[in-house]
Amino acid sequence: MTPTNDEIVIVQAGTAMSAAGLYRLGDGTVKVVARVEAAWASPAELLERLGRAAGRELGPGVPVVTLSQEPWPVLVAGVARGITAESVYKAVQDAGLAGSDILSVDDRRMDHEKVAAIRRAPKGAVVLGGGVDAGLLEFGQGQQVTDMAGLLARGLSPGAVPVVYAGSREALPGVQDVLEGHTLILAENPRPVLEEENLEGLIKVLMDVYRQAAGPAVWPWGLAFRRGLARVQAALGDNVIAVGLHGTAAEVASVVDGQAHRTGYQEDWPEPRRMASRTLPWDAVAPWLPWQASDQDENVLENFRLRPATVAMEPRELFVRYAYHRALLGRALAEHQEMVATLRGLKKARTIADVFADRQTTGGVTLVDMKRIKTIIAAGPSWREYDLPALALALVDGLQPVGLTGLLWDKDDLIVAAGVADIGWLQKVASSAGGDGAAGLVALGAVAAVTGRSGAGLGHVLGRVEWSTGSEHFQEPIQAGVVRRFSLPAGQWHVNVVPARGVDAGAGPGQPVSDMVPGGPVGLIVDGRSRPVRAHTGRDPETWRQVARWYEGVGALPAGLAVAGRQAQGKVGVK
Amino acid sequence: MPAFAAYSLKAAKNARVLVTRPFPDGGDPAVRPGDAVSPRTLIGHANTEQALCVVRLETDNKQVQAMIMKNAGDHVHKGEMIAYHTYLFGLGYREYVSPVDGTIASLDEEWGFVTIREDPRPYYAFVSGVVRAADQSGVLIEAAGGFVSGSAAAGGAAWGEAFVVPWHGDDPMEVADLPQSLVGKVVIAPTWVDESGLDALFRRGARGLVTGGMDARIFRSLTAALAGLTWDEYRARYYHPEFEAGEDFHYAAGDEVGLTVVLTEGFGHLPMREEARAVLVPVDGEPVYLSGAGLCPFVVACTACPPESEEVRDEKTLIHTAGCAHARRPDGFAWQPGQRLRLLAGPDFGQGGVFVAGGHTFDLPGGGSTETALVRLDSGQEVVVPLSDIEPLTG
Repeated sequence: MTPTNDEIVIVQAGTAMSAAGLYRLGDGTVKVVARVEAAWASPAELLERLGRAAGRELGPGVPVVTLSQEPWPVLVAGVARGITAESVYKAVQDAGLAGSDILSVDDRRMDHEKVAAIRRAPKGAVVLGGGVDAGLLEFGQGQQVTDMAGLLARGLSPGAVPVVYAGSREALPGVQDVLEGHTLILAENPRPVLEEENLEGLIKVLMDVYRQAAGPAVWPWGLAFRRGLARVQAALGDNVIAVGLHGTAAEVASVVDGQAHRTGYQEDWPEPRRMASRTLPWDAVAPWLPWQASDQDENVLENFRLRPATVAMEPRELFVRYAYHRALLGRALAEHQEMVATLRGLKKARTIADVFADRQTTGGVTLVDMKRIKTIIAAGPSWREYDLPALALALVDGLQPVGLTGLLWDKDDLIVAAGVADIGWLQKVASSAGGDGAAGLVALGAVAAVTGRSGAGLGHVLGRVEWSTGSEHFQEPIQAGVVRRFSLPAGQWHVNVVPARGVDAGAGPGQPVSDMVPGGPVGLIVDGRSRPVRAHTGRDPETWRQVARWYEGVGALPAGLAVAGRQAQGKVGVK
Repeated sequence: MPAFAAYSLKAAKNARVLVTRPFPDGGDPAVRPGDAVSPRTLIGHANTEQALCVVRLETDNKQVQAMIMKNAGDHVHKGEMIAYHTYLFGLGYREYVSPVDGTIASLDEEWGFVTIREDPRPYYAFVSGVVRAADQSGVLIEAAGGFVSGSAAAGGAAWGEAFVVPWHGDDPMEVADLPQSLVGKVVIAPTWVDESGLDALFRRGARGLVTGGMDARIFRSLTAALAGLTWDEYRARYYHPEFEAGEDFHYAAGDEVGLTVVLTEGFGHLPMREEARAVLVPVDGEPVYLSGAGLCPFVVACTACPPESEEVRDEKTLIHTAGCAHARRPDGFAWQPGQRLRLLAGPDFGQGGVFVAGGHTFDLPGGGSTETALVRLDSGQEVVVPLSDIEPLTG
């Protein structure tokens, strides 16, 4: 459903916090008329509350779109894991759905294990891909596609779930024979030739299948997020990445070189490619705490995992969540970078010079290089617990950008609103994104970060940052291992980063970087930690102090204790 | 760790419970709707018709090079040698072992394929009641008894005779209170369990544990220790003289290897809530069913309660255990003054209380606001907490 009205209601049915918003156009921007959120609430209850908040009844003239954050599982089957199966998996992710397993002829599982996996994997649909459209049978791959269809036939009850066939047209008759009695839906082959990847046809079919199951006005949150980010990026112009945080799930969407992709990281989900637990180990979370981790901290985290919709009521809970979200963002980004990569399986002519080259690439090189990302956007309900400096530092710690990067906060869920609305509406949404943020995305500030001298001693000067705000000019050193925050008022400001020899500010070792970045309530964060940023290992009981210093450096440590302050004021806590 | 999401925590002394006993990879039910079952009733077998494993032996010129130790039709255990191959004048040696327990279905001496069909795995009812549905996906059994929903769990479904540990206030379970043998028993510890207590349960052969809480670190080590274990390995690691040999014996007590643990409150030093204690403490010596699999752990106590007439049964609350994975409350739910609840965050985590009033909000640091509730805790203290941080306790 594509609404064309000037008003739209978007309900976000969350696994953590659920929300509903009434959005209206006016003066070239999108305004949030009313927005409500509540844990555990049903969509009907949210709509009722939204009507009360808007001060009027929401009539049938206002279209309602529901965005579901619950992962809808799709089982992926293909021939070559790194080629066709990967492309099908990418389409599933881009559609905002969740791949529950990836089967391929080279996944090192025996046939009976694959059949057991087909039966066990949660699945609302199955997608079978594999093979190019022409010349497939010459190389015997057609048989592999049919063999995989045979495994699906053994593992699936006829008619239980739809099977989307997005493979070679030459292998289709064989697949139809094998899957007789099953609901077979045809989609475009995402790899009609090896050199080309075309996911849109398959995404469209997947959306039809999803809506048949979930309802015509229901969208996967991830799909709206990816589409919306593509439209926001059209206004911003540069490569952009956005992270949606929903309790124990993270959504990552990026638009790099015009390609928009999305991946979802849900902890409870079986790891599709390795079939291992996706739950982040405590050892990955504990190093981000600004104190020595204890059993009680781990209990707090596990209780949060059981009830991710809760609001932190004491500093311990808040900082355990901060630590956890850093680790979660890092893992979600790594998975996104792995998926959004150059195509594998391409034939490549090599010269003798390639043999001696430093790096030979055969595909699989990520496009989401954090040195090339100019804007990071935070979205999703879990950021609401963060003070703005803590939010900005979490983005920097979790995603670890290099160079000059703007930081924005999608406070009113405008990205997903842009994702479900019509084109005219979207242009207005997008145009508001680059403005002062009053009606669009909130510009928090920017980060200037360098990498390259991991062994430099604490405080060692790695370069300098220069900026001016009107008539005032500033210059600050970039110190190794140190994070500091400086005031940068709202607006767009010119910032220079001049790295020392051997230090990279995004343009190569020793190369200066200059760009316009947004100012805002957080200002400019100058980050002298070499990438990857490693928090303490836990072996040295005193090294947690460096994490505390990072928090203090941006003013997030005292501000993060605001909840405790509220308790003291009697607004929350003991009456 | 398994997550759990429910709109309320239940504790009912006298309920009808629909217990699902699924066959994860499909199966053949051995019971029909209307059949009465007891915990030891065989309800079906896992479907192994398609569960064929293939081991390929070394061949040369259509001749198997390995020495084959088995014949078609022989039964083999997981890890048992099927064939061996020596090469390079005895310098090289390779063993071929069975990946599963099963029967050798065929031996292809020309191409070296050894096909093994997995043994059909038995499934038992674990609970007394009446079968309401049975098909290839599993069996639905209606049971009667006490019901307590848990917050977190490890292990699969299991059953055993309840052994209730004496209540010592908020202190952890005392090892001295446990008998030397707990083989086949489900231990109900109304407080919480520490490392030494958990170790004692393993050493004494307990089949299950229901307790209020446990440190996440200990819970993590428990799940890591049990991951991938076979019954043979488990028996060797936690030997007890009363253990019987044979996997059927173990499958008759639990779906998964090891100890099933249900935490009624969550992680930490959390004693069992009063409502759960009231259901579980009186069932000492009665059969108890635990479900530690999936998103919704629960306990059904007194599973061998005698069958009742339809009239009596209709008056009881019906709890469908398969439908609790949704995180949203049903339409129309509204907090009412006097509603029992517990806190889900803050320094008073896990404490019970009653809802007094709502309607206020406070702003969140990153924008937006959340509604709050005034709560009177069981300790008499009144606190204001976000509405998202309380959970109703229902019967």
